[in-house]
Amino acid sequence: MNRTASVVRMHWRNRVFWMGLPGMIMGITFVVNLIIGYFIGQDEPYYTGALCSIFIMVGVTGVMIAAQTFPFAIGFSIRRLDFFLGTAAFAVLVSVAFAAALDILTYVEQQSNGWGVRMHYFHLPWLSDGWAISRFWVFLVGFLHLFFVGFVYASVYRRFGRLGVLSLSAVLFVAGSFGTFLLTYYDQWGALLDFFKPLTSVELFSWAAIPIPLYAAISYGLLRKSVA
Amino acid sequence: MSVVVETKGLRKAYKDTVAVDNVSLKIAENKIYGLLGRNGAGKTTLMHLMTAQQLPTSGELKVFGENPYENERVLKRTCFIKESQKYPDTFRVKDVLETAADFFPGWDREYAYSLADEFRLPLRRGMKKLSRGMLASVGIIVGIASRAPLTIFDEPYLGLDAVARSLFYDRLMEDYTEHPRTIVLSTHLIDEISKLLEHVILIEGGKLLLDEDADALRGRAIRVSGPAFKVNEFAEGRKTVHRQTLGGLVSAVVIGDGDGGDRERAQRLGLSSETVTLQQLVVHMTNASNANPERKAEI
Repeated sequence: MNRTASVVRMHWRNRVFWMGLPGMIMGITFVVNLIIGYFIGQDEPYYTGALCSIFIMVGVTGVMIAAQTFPFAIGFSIRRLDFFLGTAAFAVLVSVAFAAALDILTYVEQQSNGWGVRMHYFHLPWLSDGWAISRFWVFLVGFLHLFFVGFVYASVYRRFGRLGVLSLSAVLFVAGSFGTFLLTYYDQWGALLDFFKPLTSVELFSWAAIPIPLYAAISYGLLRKSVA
Repeated sequence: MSVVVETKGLRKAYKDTVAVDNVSLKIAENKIYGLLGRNGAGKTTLMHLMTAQQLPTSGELKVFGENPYENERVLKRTCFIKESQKYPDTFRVKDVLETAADFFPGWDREYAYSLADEFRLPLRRGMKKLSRGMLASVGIIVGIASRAPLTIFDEPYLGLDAVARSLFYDRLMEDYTEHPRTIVLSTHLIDEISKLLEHVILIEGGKLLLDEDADALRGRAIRVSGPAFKVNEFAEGRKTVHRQTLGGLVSAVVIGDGDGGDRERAQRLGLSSETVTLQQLVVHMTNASNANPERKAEI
């Protein structure tokens, strides 16, 4: 068990990669939007969608972290299981930290009249509905879901190489195309929208939490047979 | 004598090549092994198998008496330094050493930093910005300071200058004397390390060609030169791994009994004799096995 903790500490030494990059990207988009918000003036509230930048970056971290640290750790006599557990644990820690940070920033945004320029960067309609704790849950699930989707992709690459990633992408593309075709053919788009429309953000993200353990299990299964 | 690594019929095959082919060997505790062979002979694959970084196709492999795959008891006693070791992009030298301190239970932090000083490593420099030789030095420091009961170096000196290489050999020997452990060195610079080696394993084409005590080996190989008929008489019933003809004169590398009688016998026959360095012997044996791939060196 203490070697899992060693892997967590290894990731902590790599925190610039885990947290610095996503934080920096979000910071830049925030400042850019703040400047735009200032020039637009305060007559109307200004909604941005740039908050998605940090979520995308966490997904990217999921893709990149295995390439960055798996061969290193395995080369230094770490078990694949310890690598997986330590990495998953660190992903949870980072997601909790980010979700808490976003929660606090949402609060500040509300209290400061949108950073003085009526900007809605963190506090968004529908997504931010509810209490602070429900927002925390929505953010947390968003981060974890994207991280593990990225991590599954990275694990496919470690196990089956480039061809594996291409095959997976092809299968997903075909499945997606077929799905949209069926929805159009049977004229079910309206029904799909009717299904999602009444869901609150907490409800939708609670559904999105369900596949996370599945992603984790798939990544571990793939990494178990991967070579450094 | 306790056995650290034991393989039986170990085999690793890829789609179109067999990297390790039916290798059975034993590596004993607290000795220094030289794992020798040409590029692509299967040395690196064999070391990857021993450390469970690659998985065998078939055969038996035991390290510290157990299967090393996903085995914490085995892996934490093992340190494998390879030329192709990857490091995270953001890591500095210090981060690598601190992480190694965390991963290897026998790590000596103070010693590691004193080695870094001796190898003139800039601790705060990013791993991506290191020169080839500095990168090699990081591996060497990790390998020595980890004090792992099984330490494996796969061509650790790449890019290192002669001064740093001799520093490596010196520190390795010093620390080995104080903290005995099993060391496997894979290298091309056989002459440089031949004095360190206690045991030699030679592989070619994935097959085990030689597995013998280094001292015994040194005594057994002898180069004799003289008239062809006399050389033939001398080599009768012995294995000749190399033969060179120049007019009526022949020079041959012959593997004898190693009891010291060979030299006397050569002298009686009027042949001049000289000892063969480990490097020459390895070259001759590898060539001999290629000339006749079916014949395994039986000495």
